[in-house]
Amino acid sequence: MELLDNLALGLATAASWQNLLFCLAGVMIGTLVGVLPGISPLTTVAMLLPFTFGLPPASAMIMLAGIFYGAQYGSSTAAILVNVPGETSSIVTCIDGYQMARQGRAGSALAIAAIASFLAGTVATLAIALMSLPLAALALKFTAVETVSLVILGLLGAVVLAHGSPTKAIAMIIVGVLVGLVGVDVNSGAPRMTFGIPDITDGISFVPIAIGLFGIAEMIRNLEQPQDRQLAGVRIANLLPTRAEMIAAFPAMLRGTAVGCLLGVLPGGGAALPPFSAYALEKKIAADPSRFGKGAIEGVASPEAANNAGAQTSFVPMLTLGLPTNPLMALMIGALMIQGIQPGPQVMTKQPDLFWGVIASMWIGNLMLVIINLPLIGIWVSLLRVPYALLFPAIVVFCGIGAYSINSSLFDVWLMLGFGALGYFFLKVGVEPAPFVLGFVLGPMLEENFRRAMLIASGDLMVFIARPISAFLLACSAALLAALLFPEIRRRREALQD
Amino acid sequence: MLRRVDVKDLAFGLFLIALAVVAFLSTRTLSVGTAADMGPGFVPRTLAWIILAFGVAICVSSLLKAPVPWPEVAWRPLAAVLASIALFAVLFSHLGLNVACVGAVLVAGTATKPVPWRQLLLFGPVLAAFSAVLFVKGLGLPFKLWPSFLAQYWPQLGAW
Repeated sequence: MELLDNLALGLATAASWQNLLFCLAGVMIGTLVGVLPGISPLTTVAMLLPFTFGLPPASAMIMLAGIFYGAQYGSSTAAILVNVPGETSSIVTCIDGYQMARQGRAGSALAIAAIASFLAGTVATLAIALMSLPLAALALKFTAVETVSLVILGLLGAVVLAHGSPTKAIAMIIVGVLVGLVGVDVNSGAPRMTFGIPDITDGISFVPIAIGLFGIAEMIRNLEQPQDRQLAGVRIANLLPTRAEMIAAFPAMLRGTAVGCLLGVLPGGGAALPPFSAYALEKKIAADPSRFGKGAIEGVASPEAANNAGAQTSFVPMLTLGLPTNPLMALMIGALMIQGIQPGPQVMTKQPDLFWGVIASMWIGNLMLVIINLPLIGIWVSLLRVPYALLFPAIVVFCGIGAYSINSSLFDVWLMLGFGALGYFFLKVGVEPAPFVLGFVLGPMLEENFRRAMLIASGDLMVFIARPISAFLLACSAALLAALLFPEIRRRREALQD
Repeated sequence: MLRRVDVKDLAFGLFLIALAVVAFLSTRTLSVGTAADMGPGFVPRTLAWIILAFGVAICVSSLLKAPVPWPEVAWRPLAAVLASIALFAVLFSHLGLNVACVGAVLVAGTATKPVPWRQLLLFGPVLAAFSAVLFVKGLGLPFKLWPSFLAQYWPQLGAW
């Protein structure tokens, strides 16, 4: 039983006392930040990334992953109690969760959300373990040609997750790839587009870009409208759901988990898609759809399960193929690279403790969330009242310290400032920064493999169609592109995102 | 005349064109090579051409679409946040972490109206102390905490 051996190795890594501590720290910081108004999980991870560089790779990844799903859990808490989603993935939880809170069932809603997340996390951990082996085995056979096609598919997947016009999202990907190429060319040693600035001869560092585009720009936008948060007259009396609620919620949790596991792996999947799809599914199969929006327990259980399952399975393409499906996974790739690990199928064979440790830690982290967070709910509720006016100056300072400490370089702080301004510009003209970030991270890999592929094929582009796996991946890309441009599907996608 | 175009698209299109031009200028000395044996300039210049094409296409279509007015820009938070980061960068390198924290908090706080001066004056030093303990004592990052001239007259500062 290779699978069990692997999981055992993972558990052994994740259950070492330091890693348990880092997992706990990650989960707690994540929840804390998820509950606080106006900071997304992405900003949190970007801000804290520099401080994990001193840790061994496995501990760093375990902590960052903990921050990620802790933040998701925290933002569900905020969604249920104040009707303000901390991030896109908990928008759906607002609908029925907040209604339940208003009816005095906040405790049940929070407990169901926690149980659903834990159940989904358990199933997703097993699903990841099952899926990773064949995927990585397949990926090890990839040559430069297949890698190029795979990256193209992954990047086009990013367009699906962007709001608004697919044309602009594709333009943003290409801009990202171009900016990713800044720095010394590996093959010739020639500096490219560096304008003689020594700080960027090794490429523009990723963390200041991510903090600027997401954290700083998001902060300025939050400050545009006054942040009013009204607690739903909550007195969390009873944290245990009733028997009837559990019986109604359990099948919904399982359905949500299945939806999340499937959608999380797809390029462009990750955070937003699974909960929306799960909610739509629940509404469709319910005997009485009119209950939804008025505090239906299934409307909390299923999206929460899908959310957590999707968040976890989105690690699969990142860990096995080195392909991030959303900006957060791009940050994780950035973290691995700074640790000196080239993401890809060889991670699993060369560093099995890292790979399986991260996966096992997800299950442990989810368990911690259930055990720790329900009793601590009082603290989280009081954090919901922190005024944004005092919170954001602190975020400015932490972002500055974070950007500086990656390379102890002041230049990176200025870079963060520049990308903050650029990010606000992108917000105002209605383009999403996510495709840019994915293009930036994958750019160097795309160019290197493309050049190698062209060298082998002596400049003949037909090689991408001549090889079967590559042809299949490109066919998927073409289908995705056609679907995006096809008006009917586009309208449904926009309806989903509204 | 600008009232009749989709200003958002036009701005994004112009941004793409400007970026492509910058890319062309900064790669003009790099050898391009052939498809079978690419030089360092091949991929960047190809990408710049594609970006230029996207830019032109988006600009042209913005003239034909239904008019969209220029979105309102929140100048006050924009200026306050960016200025606060700039001030943090300058103060941090010259006067150390504590002064930078207090300065950045004060400037960032002007983003909202009315400015909560009293809370900000109180919060700045608290945040400075918290950051010093967490990042310098806790995580061991080698940051300068106090301005050097202070340390000259008051050497005990170096102890913490």
